[in-house]
Amino acid sequence: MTRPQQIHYSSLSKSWNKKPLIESVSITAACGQFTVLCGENGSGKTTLLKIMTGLVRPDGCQILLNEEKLSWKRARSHLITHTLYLHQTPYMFSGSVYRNLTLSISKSDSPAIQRKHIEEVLEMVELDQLKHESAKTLSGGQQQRVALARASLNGSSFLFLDEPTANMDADSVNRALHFMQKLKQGGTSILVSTHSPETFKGLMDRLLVLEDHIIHEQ
Amino acid sequence: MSSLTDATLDAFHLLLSGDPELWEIIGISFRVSGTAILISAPLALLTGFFLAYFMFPLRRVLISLFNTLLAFPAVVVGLVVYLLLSNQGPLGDWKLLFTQGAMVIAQSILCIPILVSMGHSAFQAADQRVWETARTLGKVPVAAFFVVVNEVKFGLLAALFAGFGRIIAEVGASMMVGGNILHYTRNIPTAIALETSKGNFAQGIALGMVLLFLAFFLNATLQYFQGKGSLSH
Repeated sequence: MTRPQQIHYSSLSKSWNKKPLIESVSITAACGQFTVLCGENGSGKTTLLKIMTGLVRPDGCQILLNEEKLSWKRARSHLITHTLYLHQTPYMFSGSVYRNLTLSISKSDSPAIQRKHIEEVLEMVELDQLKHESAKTLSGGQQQRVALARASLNGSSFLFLDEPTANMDADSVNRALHFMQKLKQGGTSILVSTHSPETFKGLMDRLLVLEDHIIHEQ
Repeated sequence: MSSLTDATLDAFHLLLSGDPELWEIIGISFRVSGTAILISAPLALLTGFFLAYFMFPLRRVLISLFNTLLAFPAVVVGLVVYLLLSNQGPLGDWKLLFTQGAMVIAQSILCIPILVSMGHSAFQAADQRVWETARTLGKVPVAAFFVVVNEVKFGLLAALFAGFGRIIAEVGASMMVGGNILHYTRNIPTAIALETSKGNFAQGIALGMVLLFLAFFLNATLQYFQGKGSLSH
C-alpha cells in the first residue's frame, strides 16, 4: 500500500470492564494537519490514541486508508507501519540518546545516511550535546524531546502524541513546538491530546473534545 | 580435624593435578546441565514473556502452577521421569533410562519452573511501554520481543544462572534416571554422594569446591554486568 495521505476511523467503540469508554466515534487524521484533542482525565483520550495507532484493539472500528475500506484486522499492520504513538511519559531504552534514535531509524538507508539523519534531528531538538548521555538519566523534558526526535526519524506520517508537553518547562515547550511546526510543514499529521489546548494555538488546525464517550468538534 | 585438613589438601591436589576422572565428572556435569538449560530456556523464557505481557484465560492459574512447581522436589521429578522412561513406561522404547539424555530431560523439567517464574518477574519489571514503544516504532512482534529482552537482560541472566545453579547441584533426579555410571552419567553431585559414602572425602571436597567456585563465578559475573549496566544508565 502506498503511503496514506489520510486515515479515517469510523464507528470506533471501546468498553473497559463492561463500561463504555468510547462510543461510535468518527475521526480523521490527514497529512499536514495538526489536531488537538481535549478531554478530562479518564475520558478515554489515551485509549483512543492507542486504538488509532494499532496498539489497542477496539470493540468495533472501520478504517478508511487511502479510500480503501479495511477491517481492524487488516488495517492493524498498516497502522503500526504508518502511525506512531508517543506515551505521556515516553519510555527511554537503555543506552545512549543516540542508541534510542538508531532503534527508530529505517535500516534501509546506508549507515552514513542514518548517522546524518540522526545528527540533523538531534540538532533540531537541541540535544546534540547530549547524544552520548544515557537517555534514562535525562530530565523529563529532555526525554520528551528525545522521544519526539525518535518519532520523527521513524518515518511515520501520522504522529499521535499523548500530553507531549506535560513534563516540560517553558523553554522545552517552545523547542518542542518549533520542532512540531517543522514536522507539520513537512507534511506529517500530528494529533495531540492535552489538557491545555492554548499551548498549541499557533499550530492547531482543529480542536476536538472527547466528552461523554463521543467527540465534539469546537 | 587433621583428617579434614588432609582431605582438603588432597582435594586441592586432585584439582590442580588435573586428575582425569575428576575432570571427566566435572565435564559430564557441565555438558548435561548446559544442554538442559539450552533446551529449556527458549521455551521457558517465552512462556514468562507471554504470562507477563498478554492477557488470556487461565493466565493466573498458569502463574500459580509454575510458582508451585518451584518447590517440586528433585527426587519426585526423578521418579516421574524414571517411570516414564523405564521399560514398562510409555517412553520405554526410547531406551533413554540411565543415559545422559534422561538426565537432560529430568534437569530440563526441574529448571523450567525457575526460568518461567523468574523470567515472568523480569518481564513484568519492564512495563507495558517497552513493548508498545517497540511496536509503535514499527518493530514486528519478534523484533519487539528482542527489544524487550534487551531491556530486561540482567533479570533474564539471573534466571538462567539460578536455573543452572539449581540443576548442576541437584542429586536426586540425576541419581535416579542417570544411575551414577562412571565415565558416563556420574556428575558432580552424584559423585560427591558416592565418594562420601565410601569414605573418599578428598574427591567429594574437590567436587564441592568446584560447585562453590561455580556459584561464586556466576554471581560475580552477574554483579559485573549489572554494575556495568547501572553505570551506563
